[in-house]
Amino acid sequence: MEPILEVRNLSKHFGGITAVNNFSLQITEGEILGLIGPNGAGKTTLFNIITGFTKPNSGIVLFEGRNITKLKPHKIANMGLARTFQQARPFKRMLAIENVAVANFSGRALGRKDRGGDVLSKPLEALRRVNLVPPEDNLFKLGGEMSHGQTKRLDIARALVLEPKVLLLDEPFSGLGVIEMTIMSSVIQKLHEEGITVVIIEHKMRELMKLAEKLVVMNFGEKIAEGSPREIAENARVCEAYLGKEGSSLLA
Amino acid sequence: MVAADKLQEGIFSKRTIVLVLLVLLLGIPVFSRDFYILQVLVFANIAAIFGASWDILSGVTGIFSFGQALFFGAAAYMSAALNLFLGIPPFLTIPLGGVFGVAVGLAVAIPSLRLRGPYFAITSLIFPGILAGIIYMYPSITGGEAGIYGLSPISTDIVITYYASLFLMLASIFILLRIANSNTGLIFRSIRDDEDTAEATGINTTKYKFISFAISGFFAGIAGGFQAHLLMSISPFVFNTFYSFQAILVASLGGVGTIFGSVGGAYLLSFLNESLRGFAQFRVLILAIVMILVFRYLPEGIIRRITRHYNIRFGLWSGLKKLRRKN
Amino acid sequence: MLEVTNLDINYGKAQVLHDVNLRVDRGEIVAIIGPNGSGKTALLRVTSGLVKPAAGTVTFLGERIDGMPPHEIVKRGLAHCPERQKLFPQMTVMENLELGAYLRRDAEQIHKDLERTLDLFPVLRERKSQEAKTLSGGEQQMLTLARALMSNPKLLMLDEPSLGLSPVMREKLMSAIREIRQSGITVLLVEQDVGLALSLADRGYVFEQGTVFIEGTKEYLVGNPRVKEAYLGIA
Repeated sequence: MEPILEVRNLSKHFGGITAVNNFSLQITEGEILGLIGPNGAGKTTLFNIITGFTKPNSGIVLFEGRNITKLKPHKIANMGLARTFQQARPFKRMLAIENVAVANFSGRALGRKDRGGDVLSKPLEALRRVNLVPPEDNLFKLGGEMSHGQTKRLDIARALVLEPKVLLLDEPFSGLGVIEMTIMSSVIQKLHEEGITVVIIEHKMRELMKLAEKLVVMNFGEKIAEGSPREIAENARVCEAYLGKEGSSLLA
Repeated sequence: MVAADKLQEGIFSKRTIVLVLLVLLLGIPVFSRDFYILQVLVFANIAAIFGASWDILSGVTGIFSFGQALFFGAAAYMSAALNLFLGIPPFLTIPLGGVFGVAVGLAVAIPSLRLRGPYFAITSLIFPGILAGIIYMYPSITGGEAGIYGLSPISTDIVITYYASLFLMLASIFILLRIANSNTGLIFRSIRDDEDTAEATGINTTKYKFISFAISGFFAGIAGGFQAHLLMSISPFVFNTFYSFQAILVASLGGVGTIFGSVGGAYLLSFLNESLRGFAQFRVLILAIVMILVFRYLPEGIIRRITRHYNIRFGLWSGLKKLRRKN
Repeated sequence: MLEVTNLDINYGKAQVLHDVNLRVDRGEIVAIIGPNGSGKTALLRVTSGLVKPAAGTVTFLGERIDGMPPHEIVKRGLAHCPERQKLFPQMTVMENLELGAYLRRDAEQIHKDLERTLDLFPVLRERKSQEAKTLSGGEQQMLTLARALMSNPKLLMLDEPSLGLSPVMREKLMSAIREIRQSGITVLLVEQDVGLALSLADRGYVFEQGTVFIEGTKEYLVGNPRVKEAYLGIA
């Protein structure tokens, strides 16, 4: 079966630094994949390339078989490939409901055959799916007033209005407390069950291990391992990447 | 239901306020036919339109511009040219000037795509100067430094001119407010708050930036064209940074991003300006002090502060109305 | 010597550290390890005074230092050697070192310490009149370390000193840290390099997801699968 998202031989350098080095990956529809690796490994750059915010120096990105490498971010989002950012980025001066409603005016939403009633039904539904509503009060909170965990889920709600086929989440758990992490985890799990393909960049390994079916490990811009969580934990190269040569032998 | 409560208006509903102000403004000439006072009010109305034109671009869409005088001046010269060379009357040259403002706006949108935030703002400072330079270069056609005289007036009767300016101001503010509260306005605000996120949400930010520039150019152009016919003359001074700053000041005093704030800001500025006339050289100093105080203690703008205090809603996204009906 | 109790740290609204308890006793080398984003650097930013904790206390030599301005903390003998070399690139090695002693008043002792530090880092003595920016990455790290020493600290906190160092430099760093401890200075070492950290340290704390996951002596941690679990999520 053709992968829903594929990157082939992607490379990207900034000045003298190679951020992504000949990276290839195939993602199957419906799977939930974790992208891990030490800081600076190139994970967010990879997301930026896939979603059109950065252009690679070489290589291509294929979404549903179509080459999207050179497309602008909004075009890619409108094809059904949505993303969130590492830092929660709400529209701070707009109400939560407005935040999510903006997505209703994306090319994708406007192009839908069933305009589904009024302009608020999809946003309200999305807010329910991420457990921001109820309580109704949350609708009128400003983007800048919400708690960290709430803004992260707000970002996801916004992406959901696009009805994405693939959702790229960049560190959805960062900065969250224990309770919020549990909520976020169940939200992501639900989305996976609905059939959305999810790719997650995370450092919080424990949470990710519970969710991900497959892991891909990046270091210095390269793929160094790919497999199930158990396989990854036992992979020597991965251990070295995180613990250092001496460290991984000390802790073997 | 809580939703409805949040959208409830304060004691003074929007409707009453608007009606009261309308009656006041319409009734002024009844009480005073003083040429001087009416003329000041005409200038205030122009300043209101001009300030609001800056507001929709910089306050609502977040594209900070120091060059609003460009649209103002370009449209002024276009209106003047149409009037002098083709004999077209003001009531047509003014909207046509606005259309020319759209063209100039679209032209300026192009460099704005390349230059991020503060860099565009600084660069926009010199745009008006570029056109002024062109004016100086071809004095035979443009009248050069001295400018052009002999344009048709709006009207020989100051009262009619007053009502014309009032009508234009009310119409402009009404339209701009509708735009700001529309779905397009929502998109503008999303670009202002976080452009990358807006892009990632499938919004073609480039397209909407062009639209914002076009709207801004149109209304700044209207203001410019009107002033040209009001003064019956035009000079390169229309491109002066003075005007660019005036637009920003008017909008800021009232409340950046509110649109309606420009009305209050314009009238306030006019009032301050006129009442301080007796102070000669201290006038500018006092004005500056007032401005500093306002920005320090009421950074959201005076008018915005008042409307917020009394919970008067001028700036609500139209889509939210659906929430009110949901109960 | 240094005690941290029930520490919570937030960066804005994001919770970075939660309920952290640790202590460093005189003469020890204590290591803090853990994956990226686990909050290690945040801890040092609080103990050096750059950030105020949201809750909890930090005590140094019996005195509460949380919320104190950084220069006051340095005066009390707690020096912080930051992650990115914060050197003055256009000043010479000597000038950078002298600046490290800025808060001190005892000129004669400063001079002695300067000599002692240059003995500790012979490569810096060689280059003492060179501008800091001309030094290699590893040498710059040495200089940052030496400069921190010039403040005559009782406790030295190192933030990932091995970052970007070549294997040769890494060895030099390790022996330098051992010598520093020999000279009577206590060391708190935050490290990415698990091997380096566990070789040097007497005791260690493993941070994970903003809290202390496991702690113990070097012997307890080495070979302990739970340390690996902190990094990889499962043992």
